Order: sequence, then C-alpha cells, then structure tokens
Amino acid sequence: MKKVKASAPGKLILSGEHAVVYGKPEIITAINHRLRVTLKERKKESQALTFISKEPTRLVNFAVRKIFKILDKKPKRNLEIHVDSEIPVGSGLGSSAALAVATTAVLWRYFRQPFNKERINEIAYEIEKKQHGTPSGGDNTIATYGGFLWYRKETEFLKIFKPLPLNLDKLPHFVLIDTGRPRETTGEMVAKVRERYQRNRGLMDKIFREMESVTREMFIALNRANKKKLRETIRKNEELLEKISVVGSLAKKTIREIEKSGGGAKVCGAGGIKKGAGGIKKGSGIVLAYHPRKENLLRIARARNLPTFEVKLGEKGVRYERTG
Amino acid sequence: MKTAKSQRSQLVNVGTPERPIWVSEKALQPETKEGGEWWAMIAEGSVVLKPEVLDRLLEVTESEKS
Repeated sequence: MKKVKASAPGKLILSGEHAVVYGKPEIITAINHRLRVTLKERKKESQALTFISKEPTRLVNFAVRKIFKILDKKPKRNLEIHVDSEIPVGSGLGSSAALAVATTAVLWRYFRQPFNKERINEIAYEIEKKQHGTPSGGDNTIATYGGFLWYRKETEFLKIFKPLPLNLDKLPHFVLIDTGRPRETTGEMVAKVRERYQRNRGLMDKIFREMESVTREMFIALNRANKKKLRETIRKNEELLEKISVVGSLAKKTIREIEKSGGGAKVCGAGGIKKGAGGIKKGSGIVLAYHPRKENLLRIARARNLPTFEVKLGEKGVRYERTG
Repeated sequence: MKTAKSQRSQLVNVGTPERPIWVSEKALQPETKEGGEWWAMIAEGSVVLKPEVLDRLLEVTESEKS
C-alpha cells in the first residue's frame, strides 16, 4: 500500500494586526504546531474518497479535486486522506493554509512530482482563493517556506512579502494564552476599528504609524535576539492595540499582571472587548506572551483558568514525514 | 439586500450587476464559525479587500443584522 505523509506549520501574527488593513506592515511567523496529512492508497476502489479529519471535509475535498485537475489526473477513489492537526481550528493560527499546503504536498509526491515549494505554494494559493475569495497569499507562503515573513499590502495588486533571515537558536520560546472567545464577532471588531478610522482619521493614522514603528523595532529586536527590547516592543504593541480599543478587560488584567511580573504580552488577531450576559467578562482571543521566566506566565494563566500552549517561532515550512 | 451567487465558486456579489463586488459567502455570516474565521483573516491581513469593498461589506452585514 502506497503511503505519503507531509506536514505544514501554523502561523502567528507577531505585530501589525488591524494596522495591516490600512497599508502598514506586519510580521508573520511559522510556529511549531503542525498539521499533518497522510495519504494512503487502498487496493480496492471504494464509493468515494475517504477523509478522516477534524478540519472541514469540504476544504480537504476541494483541495484534492483541485490538485487532480492541475496535474491533469483522473480522480481516484481508492485514496484515504487522514488529517491530524496540532493547530487549533478557528484560532487565527493558519490551519486552513497549512491544510492546503500539506494536502498539495502529499498529492504532489503521490503523483511522483519533484519536490517544488514554489509550485506547492502556487497551488495552495489557488485553494486559498477558493476558500477565502481574496487571500493575501501570506498564510500559504509562511506554511510553505516557514520562518518569518514581512508582509505589506501596497495596493490590491502589489503585495510585498520578504522572508526575514533570523537566527532561530537565540530566540526565546513564547507562550500563547487563550483568554477565551470574544463576545463580538470578528466582523464587528473590524467594523469598530473601521468606524473609528472614519470618525477620527488623523488620530487613527497616527496610531497605525506608531504600530509600523513598533513592527520595525520588533524585527530589530528579533534580529539581534535582544530579549529586553523584544519584551518592550510587545508591551508597546499591546498599548497601541488598547488605544484602538480591541482589548477587553479580562485580557487587559491578565496582561497587566504579566507586565508587573516582568514579562510582556499582546493580543493576537482581531481582539474582543464586550462583556457577556450578567457582566461576565469575555475574552479577547489569543494572547502572545513572553517572560524571561516562563513559569511566571504559566502561573498567571493557571490562576485564571486560561489554557496555555508554548510556541517556538520560525518553524520550518512544508516537509515530508516518515510513514510507518 | 441584493446579492447574487457566482456560478463558478462560493463567492457572492455585494455590489450591483453592473459593478459587481465579489466576496466569499462566509463574509455574510460573521456569526458562524467559518464567517468568524474569515473576518479574523481580514484583521490579520490574510484576506485583502479594497477599502470601498470593505465599506460595502460592512454596510451589508450591518443591514443584515438589523
């Protein structure tokens, strides 16, 4: 029985969320939580392709059919595709791009094509387009090549992606703290920021320019593996996200405690601010935290019953895995 | 609200037949899991929209809510 396995990493926005919508740069990194796709060829043809996945089957199905078409291969029914992921679905950690990239890679090898990251990335981008309409291409690029990526949208037709060469050995580990699902939809968060931008453009432009400076400073801190500076840029980043009002009180309290204990933390992604029914505090999604002594972060999160997971930044991109 | 579905894919037109604005149909369901993920991708820059498309989409989702 023929068997092929490939994996691709999840991703995280280190700096620049929300500001990126307004033409400012962001830093994207691959993280050491991977999604693995295993393809098995069965001897007998069955009624349909078999998918074993917690990811939406429609997505896997579409990716498979797209690749058959691109490679001009007759659809086969004797394939079993198994998806196993360490990337939480719907957490903004890039699970759909990792799925598109890893699925492309297994079929690529199954059809005996030479390993070609550029081609895998192109196909994954096509899959992302079908899934999301107008993707930037950043998620599939980071899932394919790994490492760090500087991304900036100049216009709808000009997007700049620049891989950032950073020394991974010197970089510290980070902890992601899940402060819980925000009460608002992410659409409402985007709308709130847009509304503020239209109401007070001067102030918002100023904040987004400051975010751009912080993103640059963060790159320098990462490049020099300067942990003190890194902590400082994370704190500044959070301060600016609070200025555009995307951070709720639960996340703020947790972050203040982390800062007081000597660390730094910031919300990743759209954020969330509303309180739930009866004034119950709702979360702001995932928080990225750094502390020279990570036990402090774990202690703070534990005291609030918030789930945590450690992440290593700059993870390698798509790769084939041993089967057996 | 007038939206037309594309025959080619899961995109919907939130513009007019003369000046179509095609967006993922998930964009119109921000309260669903998939819709939430799509909007998070906007905030993170993973999905790119022209400012006028973003404004039109926000207008449509707001009118759907009310």
